[in-house]
Amino acid sequence: MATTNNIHRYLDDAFAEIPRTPETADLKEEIRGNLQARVTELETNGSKPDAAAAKAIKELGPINELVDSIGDSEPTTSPADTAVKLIALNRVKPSPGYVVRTVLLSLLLACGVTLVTVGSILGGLGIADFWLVSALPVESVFAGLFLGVIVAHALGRETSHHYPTKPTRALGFGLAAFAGLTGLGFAAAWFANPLLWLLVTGCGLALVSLMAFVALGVTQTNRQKPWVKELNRAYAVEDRFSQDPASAARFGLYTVVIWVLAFAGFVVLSITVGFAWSWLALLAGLAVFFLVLARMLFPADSNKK
Amino acid sequence: MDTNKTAPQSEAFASDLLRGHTDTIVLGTLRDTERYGFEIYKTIRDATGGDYEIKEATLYATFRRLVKDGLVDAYWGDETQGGRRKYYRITDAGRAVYTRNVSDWNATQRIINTLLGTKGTN
Repeated sequence: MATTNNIHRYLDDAFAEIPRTPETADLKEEIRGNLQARVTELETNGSKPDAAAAKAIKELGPINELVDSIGDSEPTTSPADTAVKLIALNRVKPSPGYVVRTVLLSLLLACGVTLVTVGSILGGLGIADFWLVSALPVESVFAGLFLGVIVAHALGRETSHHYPTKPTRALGFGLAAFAGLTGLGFAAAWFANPLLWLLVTGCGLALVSLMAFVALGVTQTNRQKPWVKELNRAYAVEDRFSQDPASAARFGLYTVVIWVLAFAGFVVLSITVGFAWSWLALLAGLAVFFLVLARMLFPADSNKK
Repeated sequence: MDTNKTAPQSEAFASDLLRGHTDTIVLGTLRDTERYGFEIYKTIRDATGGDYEIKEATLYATFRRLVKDGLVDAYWGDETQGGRRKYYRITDAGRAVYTRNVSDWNATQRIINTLLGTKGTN
């Protein structure tokens, strides 16, 4: 049995009987981290993994004592109080190095995008010199690179609200962002300097980026932490679109009917009466659409669940 | 101050007296740098050469109390490898309380030493 399994199983068993609250869940995670650190220390000093885990657990003492030690907190019921508590408990502080790197890269990215935009417009108008125009592709590559690094780096970090994305996926998102921005830059450069390879490469990169984003997007799983989900549920507004699928489907059909009729009316009136009055059909369609939307969001008999 | 429960000769100090200063001791370990739970435990253990091992239950209770009183901030580290660690950082309020507690202790120590008729070490 691996060391970590030992600790994790012990914690799961020890906390099985303890009611699950934000505090106890938090304590469990904290104990887990500390136990792991102690096991690592013991192993460095030459203990066998199993023996190290057993010793660390023994030193910890009875879990009940630890739980009792934090059990004095009064139960809060107000969702706002719970929210404040949850946010405080789950705060993850970003490392200063990461913040500095991201700010620097963002500044460089802003410079790159500005240079490419201004250069392309001036080049397109024919008032930029040769060097400014010929530097555009290189600037695009750098801007794309900065964006890619920012995206990949950000997705790979744990934040207060989200678990980190898998490194390979984060890299994928980074590469897609890189390809997208570089492609757009090439396409913009083509306006200033109509070389065929710029347009072909630019559109190709943009297309690759789009496909990559779609592929990554449809395979993306949830990254939100449980406490965020819990908070979202607590603050969920009466939303019939997600809570009442039958009404949502009905609303979709109504929308199609309303707009088909409105456009048909518009076309018919345009031919028979003229443009001076035909727009009224669209206005009527819009009015009816909003009435249906209002009825959808705020049902007349809201007490009927 | 009641050390009769355990063999009085086994420890050359009153653990109850020490326990009363756990908050200040923990704040002291955080003066220079932020640390996670086991690091604090280790710092205290190593500082006394292993003579005094603070009970972990006491330590967790202390962390909770210090956070609640705003003397330390708690947050999760964003390191991705290894286990997650909850870090503690002393706040300005914590520093103020630490300084006050230390000077209180120094004053108390002087008075007790004088009253007991022994010569103080500082």
